[in-house]
Amino acid sequence: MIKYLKKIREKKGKRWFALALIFALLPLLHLYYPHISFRLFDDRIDFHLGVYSLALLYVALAMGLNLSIGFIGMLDLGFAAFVGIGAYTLAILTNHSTLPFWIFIPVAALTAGFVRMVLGATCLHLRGDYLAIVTLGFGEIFVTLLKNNPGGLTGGPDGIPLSLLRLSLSDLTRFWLAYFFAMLAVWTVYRIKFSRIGRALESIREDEIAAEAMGIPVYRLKLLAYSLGGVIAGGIGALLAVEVGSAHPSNYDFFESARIVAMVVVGGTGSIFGSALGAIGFVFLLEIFRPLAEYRMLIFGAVMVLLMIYRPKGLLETERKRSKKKLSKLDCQK
Amino acid sequence: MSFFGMKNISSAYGKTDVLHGINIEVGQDEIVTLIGSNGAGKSTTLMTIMGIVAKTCGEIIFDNLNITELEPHEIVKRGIVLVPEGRRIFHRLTVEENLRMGAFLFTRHDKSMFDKAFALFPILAERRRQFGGTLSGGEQQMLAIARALMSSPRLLLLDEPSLGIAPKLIERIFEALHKIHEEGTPILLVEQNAKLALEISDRAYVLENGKILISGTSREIACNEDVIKAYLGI
Repeated sequence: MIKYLKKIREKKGKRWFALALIFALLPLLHLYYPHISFRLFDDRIDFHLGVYSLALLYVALAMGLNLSIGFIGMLDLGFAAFVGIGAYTLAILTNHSTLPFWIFIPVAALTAGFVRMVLGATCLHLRGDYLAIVTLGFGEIFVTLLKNNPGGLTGGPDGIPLSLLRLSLSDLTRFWLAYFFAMLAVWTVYRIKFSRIGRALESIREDEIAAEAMGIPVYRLKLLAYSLGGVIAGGIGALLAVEVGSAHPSNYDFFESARIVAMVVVGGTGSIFGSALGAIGFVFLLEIFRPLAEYRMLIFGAVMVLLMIYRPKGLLETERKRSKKKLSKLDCQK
Repeated sequence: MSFFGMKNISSAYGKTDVLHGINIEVGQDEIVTLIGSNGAGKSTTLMTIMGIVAKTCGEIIFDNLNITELEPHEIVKRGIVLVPEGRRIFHRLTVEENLRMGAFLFTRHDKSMFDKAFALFPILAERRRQFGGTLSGGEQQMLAIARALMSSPRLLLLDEPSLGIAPKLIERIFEALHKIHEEGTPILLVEQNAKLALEISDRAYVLENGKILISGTSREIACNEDVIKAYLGI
């Protein structure tokens, strides 16, 4: 066992191991100190398990968005819509059936993935700003659609309450669900990044024409990464809706998209660990500055400006795996 | 029918026609060069062959196979690879990763392919773990050529390999091209430096305003008075 742990530590995943361990220990901490709280501006801030679950879920969402922003380098401003598709899929299906809710998590993931694939198939040949505008438009259309309650399915501006489902699960269960799915998302994206496909995606980001000339099927790979981002968004969106206790249109508007983009960009586009830290930091800071209500966005504005000045590439730069394997007898003769 | 031939190819960027009925052939053991002034359509010709720029008419035959309608990655799979203009290496990928991308469609990473690349350009072996963007211009061009060779192409397209590179390194690169050709890979070379291009090549085409103006063996072209006046600057 110890040997195994050592092996993990020796590998690149050292930081990940530490982060995963810290989060795994949080419920224990919670057991002894159920209320980690302090006062800020005469308000009591309470750190409970729900905050940690939220942080984990946003880590997973940052992973999903990193697939498109970080790897292929396309600005995606409608990501929250796919989180919403996952959430509403779960909410509608649980309300209309008696099956246990967890069956619908993969369904939510696949639905969002499918919608994103269809959207991607129509618009991925666009570049830069044009693509950003299409994704932005899609996000807006989605929210408007939800508010108009098509077929009486989405509950209009009130959304669909999931508080009963939320109450049927303990805080701890929800925490471990979030933990498991966040780890799954991180692991998947990590595996992709350091694979042949991942390198190809990054080469598309670096230079699309060169990638094409090298025989990389640019459009197919873009579509693959883009749809996979949708799968992650959908699955995590379903869990997020359970965690929050409702599927509500305002949870999936442009500001939510912008928030997830900010997490990835602040953490370091393309860097997996960076965007995870970005997500955790964002959720925690939002919680700490809750008494400031809407004014906390001012603080984020200031943070973003400082980051742009001092770390324009984000907190952490994208990781590169440097293989130690010898490739050739001529290799590294020095 | 020769090894590679494009017949009556026209292509366009959107509504702007660039090529007007181009005919080019490349034999199995030839270096063919395409010279012409800026904006004549040289790079477009190569991009059209790769399927990156859309063709409006004509057909391209490669090794008795019609590749006119194929996607870029399918064309690479058939054995045509382009070294794009301005190198276009992947800056934030390491030299080794750049090379691996060159062999993207050929999943078995043959050690011998790296051997070949490093034998041709030993400097790349030393720089293997560096980011592509940290190499000098000449080294980047070497990397771009080595990257293209990773898929063992049967026809190599080169777009301006001497662009913005120190004269000494240009010599090294052209030596390498000579070696690649001797090992049996035909080359279609686009070059601004007409003198250099005509020295290394067997045959040449002169392109102007999207049309072939003159074609012939490189020696003939090099002696053609119009060409001398327009491109050799003597």
